[in-house]
Amino acid sequence: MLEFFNDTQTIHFIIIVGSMSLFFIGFYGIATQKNLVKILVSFDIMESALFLFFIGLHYKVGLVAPILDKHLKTFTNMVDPVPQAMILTTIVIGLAVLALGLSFGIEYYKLTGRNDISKMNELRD
Amino acid sequence: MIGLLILFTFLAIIVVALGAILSKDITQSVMLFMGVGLGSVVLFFIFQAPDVALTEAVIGTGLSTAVFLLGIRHTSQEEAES
Amino acid sequence: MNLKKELRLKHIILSLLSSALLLSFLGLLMQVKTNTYKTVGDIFLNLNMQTATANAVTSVVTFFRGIDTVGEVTVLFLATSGVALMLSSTQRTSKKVVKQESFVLHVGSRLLMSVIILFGVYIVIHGHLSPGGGFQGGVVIATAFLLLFLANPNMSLSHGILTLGESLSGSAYVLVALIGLFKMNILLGNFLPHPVGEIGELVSGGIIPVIYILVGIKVGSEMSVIVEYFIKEDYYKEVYDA
Repeated sequence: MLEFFNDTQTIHFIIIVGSMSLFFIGFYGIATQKNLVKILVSFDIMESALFLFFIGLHYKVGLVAPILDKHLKTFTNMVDPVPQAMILTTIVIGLAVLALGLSFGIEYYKLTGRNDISKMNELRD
Repeated sequence: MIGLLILFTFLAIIVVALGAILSKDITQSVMLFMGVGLGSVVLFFIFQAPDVALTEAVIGTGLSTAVFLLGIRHTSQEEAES
Repeated sequence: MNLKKELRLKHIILSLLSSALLLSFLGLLMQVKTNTYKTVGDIFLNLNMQTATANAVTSVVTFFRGIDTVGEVTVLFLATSGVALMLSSTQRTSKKVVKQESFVLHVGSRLLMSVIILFGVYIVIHGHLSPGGGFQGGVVIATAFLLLFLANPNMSLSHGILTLGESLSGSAYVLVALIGLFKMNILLGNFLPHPVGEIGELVSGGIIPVIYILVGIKVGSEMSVIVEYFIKEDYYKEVYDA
C-alpha cells in the first residue's frame, strides 16, 4: 500500500510542495516582520528552501552519491554532481552575506538604539 | 518508505520555520532557525548529497547560529510592540 | 484599537498574497516532468574518470567549474572586508578586558582546540576522496578559533599572518590557473601527472587537491576574521557600558 511513496514522481511532488511552502513562509516573514534580525532569519529560511529545492529535484530513487569507494568502481548510476557543487559554494557565501547584513544591523543599533525598520526615518528630510 | 521520511522531515521543518517567524523572542527565533538547518542536514543526506550535508551541518547549525547569537547579544531581545 | 485592526488586516492581506504566489508557483512547477531530461551532470560524470578523483563533486567544484569558484572566493573576500569595515571603526580604541571565563571552558578549549583543527585539516586534505573539502574544512577550523575566543577574550589573532595566508592562497589559485593555461592551453588545466590507476589514493588527481587546500586556507582565514570581529564587538561594548 505504501509503495506509492517510493516513486520518484511522488518524492518530487513532496519536494516541490514542501520547499515552496518553506520559501513563501520566509517571504511572509520578510513582508510582515519589523525587527532587522527577524528579517535576516526569514531571509535564511528562504535560502534553505532554495537549497532543498535544487538538491531534491536531482535525486531519483536508486541513485547513489557521486563518490567512489571500494565496492563502487565506475561513475554510473549516480546523482547529478553539478547542483551539489553549486549549492556547496552558495551555502558558504550565504554565511558571509549573513555576517555582512548582521554587521549593518549592529552598527545601526549602536548609532540609533533602535532595531525596528518601521521607525527608520533618519533620511526623511 | 523513503518518501514518508521525506514528508515528515519537511513537515517538521515547516513547523519549526513558522515558529521561528512568529515567535516574539529574538533568541528563541534564532534557536528555532537552527532547527531548520538541522532538518535540512537530514534531507540532504537522504538526497545522496553528503558534501552538502557536511557543509550545512557545519555552517547552518554551527557557525551561522553562533554569528547570530553573538550579533544579537547587545541588541534588544524583545520585539517592540507596535 | 483602530491601529490594531489595521495591523491585523495588513497581516491577512500579506499572507493571502504569499499563498496566492505559492499556488501560482506550484501550478507552474507541477507541469514539469522532472525525471526525463538529461543534464550537463551526465557529461561531467562520464568525463570524471579522466580527472582521477574519487569524489565527483570535488572535481566539478575545482576543475570543470573552477572559474566559478574563483568568482565565489572573490565574493567571500568582499563580504569579509565589508564586515571588517563596518565593525572595526570602534575597535581601534578598545581596551584590554580583565574578564576571566569559567574554568571548565578554559581547560576544555585547550583540550578540544587541537582535535578540532586536526579534524578540519583532515577534511581539507581528503576532499578528493571522501565528502568534504576546502570549504567545509576551512569553516571547521574557524569554529576552533570561535571556541578559543570564547575561552579567553583577551586573545587576538595576528592579522599579518592571516592577511598573508589569505592573499597568498588567493594569488596561488590564480597562478595555478594561469600555469594550466600556458602548459595545457585551457584555464585550470591539470598540468600535474594524474594517472587514472591511482584513483582513491591520497596523492592523486593532479592539481585538484592543491586547489582545494588553497581554498581551505582562504576560507579558514576569512571565517576566522569574521568570528573575531563579532566576538570583539561584544567585549568592546561591555567595557564601554561599564
